[in-house]
Amino acid sequence: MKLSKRETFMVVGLVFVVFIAGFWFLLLSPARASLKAAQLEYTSIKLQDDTNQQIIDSVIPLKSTRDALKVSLSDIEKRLLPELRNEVITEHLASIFKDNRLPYIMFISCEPAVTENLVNADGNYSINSVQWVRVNMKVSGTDGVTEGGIPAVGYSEFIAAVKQIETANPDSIHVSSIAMEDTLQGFQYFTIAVDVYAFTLTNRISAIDPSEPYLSWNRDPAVSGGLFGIPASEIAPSQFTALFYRPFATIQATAATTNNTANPGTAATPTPTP
Amino acid sequence: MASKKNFESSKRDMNFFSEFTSSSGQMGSYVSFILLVLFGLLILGGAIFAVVFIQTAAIKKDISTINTKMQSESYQAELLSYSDINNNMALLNQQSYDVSALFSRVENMGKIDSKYMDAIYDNVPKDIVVTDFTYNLGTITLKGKAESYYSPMDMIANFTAAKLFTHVNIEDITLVNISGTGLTQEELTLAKKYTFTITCSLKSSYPVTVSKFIDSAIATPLTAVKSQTLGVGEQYSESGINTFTAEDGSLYSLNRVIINDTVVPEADMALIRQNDSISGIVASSVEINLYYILTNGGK
Repeated sequence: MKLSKRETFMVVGLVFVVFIAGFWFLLLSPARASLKAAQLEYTSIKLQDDTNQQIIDSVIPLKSTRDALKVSLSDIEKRLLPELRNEVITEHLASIFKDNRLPYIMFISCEPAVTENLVNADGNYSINSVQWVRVNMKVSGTDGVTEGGIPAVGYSEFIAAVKQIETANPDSIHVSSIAMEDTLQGFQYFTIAVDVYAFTLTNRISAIDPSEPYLSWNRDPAVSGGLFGIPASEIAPSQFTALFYRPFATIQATAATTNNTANPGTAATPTPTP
Repeated sequence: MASKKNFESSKRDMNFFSEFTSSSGQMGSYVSFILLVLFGLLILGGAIFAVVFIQTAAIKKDISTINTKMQSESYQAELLSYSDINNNMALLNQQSYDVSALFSRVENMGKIDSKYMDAIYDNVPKDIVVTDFTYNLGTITLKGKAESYYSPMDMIANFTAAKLFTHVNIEDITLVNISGTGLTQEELTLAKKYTFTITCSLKSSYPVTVSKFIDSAIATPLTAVKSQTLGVGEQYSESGINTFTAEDGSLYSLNRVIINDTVVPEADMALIRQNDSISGIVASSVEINLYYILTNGGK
């Protein structure tokens, strides 16, 4: 069948259109779609990478910020003692008075430790707290006349000791009160109440300074061998009371045979033989 | 007239097609031309396709490179390191708040200042003997003996001149009957016959603390507590409070303020925001809690 030229022209046109459409829809469009998808994926992944890169770039400054925060936190932690040791605290306070010529300790007491908790905004207690203890001491001055009390020691020495206590560690050691009581016999009693504070931290980051005088016990270890109960042999003869009910005695002492100042060895109350 | 024009136009078209039928040689050159155009288009299409294909391949290669980089151990380790540091920072911030809040409480616990005793010592007149004193909780009580009733008053006048205390109270100035004390006549002459008790009040001071939190149910602290002790009547001020930039770059803006458990009303908040500061006069303990909300996402 022979096509007319007009038909031939139209067929060629149709082929042309089909070719263009085929190229467009079958080749170029999928390729462009693929390109677009790749571009979108690239944009997304690049954005993620850029964000991550920013994060990675911030690691070093963040590390330095963290280190600075650690230093600042450590500084605050060190401002209070890491723990309370009553024996060390009282011994150190006594040594300060001794250094200021007030070695005559009349009274020492440590009140029960108080814990100061922090309540978080959610109503729970913080894992960190502060503990503090009040140490009361009474020391004596000297009159400057009596043997053992020369030279006279009084107010000036006491205040010097107070200043030493309040300036050595002003954050964790607070002098709560001071007082003087004149005996009207040429010397005075001085009393002081000192509050000592310590952090109780679950995750402490600062190292504990072992040279802190309110923490370190520097006395030699005591020799063991203490007694529970005062044996008769340790009682001063003048203090031994013979007329005393002793459940273990076979013969109880009576008033007639009592000698209040008797030596235990010669007491009227016989000691049963086992 | 219009129908004549249409007829002439149709006639012209027929003449145009008749040119194709009449000249096969001319037709052949048209087909060649069309084939040439088709070939050109094929080349062009191929080139476009090739460009698109190459672009796609290049982008996919870039994606693969980035993916490889993002999945590398060092990359992941650095991201993990950031996460660890961030978590660590959160813990440190909480610890820092706890420790500073506890320390500010300790800092504001009552304690004596021996400088007041020094000042008293320097202002005690010569004819007075202080026999007892107590210094506790902002009050110093002095007991002693004096030769005359005005000696303790001289002492108080000295204290007033030195501006040592906010108030000095005379508890008593008493002439003591010492006739029955067994003193000799000479001793009676020299004895200080008056006793006195005076109470000196020190200027009160109170703590002012400023804390910053994220405004949420758990109120995560943003910084350590800032604390200072100021005397009654002194002014406290905290500026630069409208925004807060966290360590990771997150920007927070002030949402509300609570002072001593009372929410600051919106009218006062506007003034605080306008001045970018909060201030007042100390009359008692002041606890300022600033609550912030996140303005940008940070990292």
